[in-house]
Amino acid sequence: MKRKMKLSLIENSVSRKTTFTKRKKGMTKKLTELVTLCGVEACAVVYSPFNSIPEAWPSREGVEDVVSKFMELSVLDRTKKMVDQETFISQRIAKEKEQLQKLRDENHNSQIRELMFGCLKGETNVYNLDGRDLQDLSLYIDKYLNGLTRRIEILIENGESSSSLPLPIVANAAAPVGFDGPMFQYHNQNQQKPVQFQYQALYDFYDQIPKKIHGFNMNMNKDSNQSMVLDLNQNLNDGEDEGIPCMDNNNYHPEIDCLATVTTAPTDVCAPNITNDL
Amino acid sequence: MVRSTKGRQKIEMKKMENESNLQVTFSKRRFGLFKKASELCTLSGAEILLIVFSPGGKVFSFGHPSVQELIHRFSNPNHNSAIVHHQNNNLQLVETRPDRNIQYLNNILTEVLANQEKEKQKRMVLDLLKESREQVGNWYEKDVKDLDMNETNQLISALQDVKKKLVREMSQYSQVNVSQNYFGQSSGVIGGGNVGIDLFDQRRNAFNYNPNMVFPNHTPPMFGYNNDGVLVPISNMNYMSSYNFNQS
Repeated sequence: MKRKMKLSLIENSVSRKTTFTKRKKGMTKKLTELVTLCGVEACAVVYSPFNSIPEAWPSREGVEDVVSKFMELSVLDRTKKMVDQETFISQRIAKEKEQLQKLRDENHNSQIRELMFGCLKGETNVYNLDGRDLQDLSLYIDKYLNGLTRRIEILIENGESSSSLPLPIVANAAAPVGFDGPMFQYHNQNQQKPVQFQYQALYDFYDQIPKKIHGFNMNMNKDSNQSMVLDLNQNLNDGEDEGIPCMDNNNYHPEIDCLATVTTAPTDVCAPNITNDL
Repeated sequence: MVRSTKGRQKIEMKKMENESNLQVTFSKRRFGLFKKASELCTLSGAEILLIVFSPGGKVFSFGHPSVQELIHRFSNPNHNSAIVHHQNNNLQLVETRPDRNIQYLNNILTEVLANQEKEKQKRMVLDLLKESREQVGNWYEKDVKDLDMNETNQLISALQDVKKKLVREMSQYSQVNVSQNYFGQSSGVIGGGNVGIDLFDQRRNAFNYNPNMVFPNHTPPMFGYNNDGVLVPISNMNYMSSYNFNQS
């Protein structure tokens, strides 16, 4: 069992010497292979605390030849690719960090893909995801939809069509898309009219929000769900005008909007009570 | 030796003929050689000089503590007193105080390599997940270019449904954070904390709201209010009528 070696000076002097001997042999072997495979000139010199005479590879004369050739080069050529241990480790860290980031990106992409198929099959509930995953999944689905759209264009060009209907993706395909959220625990006791109840909830929800917040939410919905917005507008127009807030085209920052909301909360909250008491 | 896959293979130990392969091999092996030298310096306190000329004539060199110092030392071996002195000094330095910055860099390198190992493990898990999913072989998990017209259309509408849920959830996510923050503040204002918790439970408990109940010195959070069953009768009735009309 090979043990992970800690990258620091070995404390035990006997172990240190043994490691030195083995690894020196391995390093010189690698040098030999490099010279043989690529047909290049190279040399190595090793000074160690265990030996007062430096060890030279391939030989003392060989090293002298390579060093002479090295010294004949201009200073610029000599130093261009010259590294000491500190510089080399820094370069290696940069390279390995780049590799690490690449791995992370690949893994994240795979995760999002699994998440998308999980949502398609109904195995995964989007309500359990955090903000970043929601955004990443949204972007991934957009890209995937673009791919599918291009596929449609290709199929139309080729004039392909198929009469066979594919299997349903989710077993309970008729399940309605409800207005659910972690902080809004709505219990639907009227099982016979779930859709109507949900629209009622949505209407009441928007009715309670001041103008600025309403505008913010409507803008969000408008960008991605045009048909739903149209339905809401139609329903709202049929209702009483006095209680319906106007749509504001400006996009407000949620934090600031909510702070503004706090100052007006007492007035808005009191109104329903008064109405109910009458 | 004949292998079934083109994975890692042993190569013949002779001069390579293919020029581009030779260049790539040189680059990889030079890096590996320098890496081994660096590790050897760290582990055993040795001082190593490497000089390598590339097939293209460039020169790559590695030296610890530096290339110039080791070349100078190698070229002046006759000063015995200097050698002995340096040897003792070198031994002392190695024993007592390794280079602190190099140790720091080695620690960072170790950490990065450990993180890489974790990501590789994670990748294996994800690959297994993908493999088990593909074995089921659902039609909508095929590659995009293998789908026909009906399949593509149905997958598009399904993904758009998921997207709608996502957008709604993202919108809620922002408000939930704000609402929680707001309620936390009001809980702090009350002081005891117990009252805040009770109020929170009442907020979450739908259909238990008493319209005549008075909350002294406390403003309930805005965004959960309507879910407690507080309805405006006139607006509600009008909306119900209009909705039924739309249905018929």
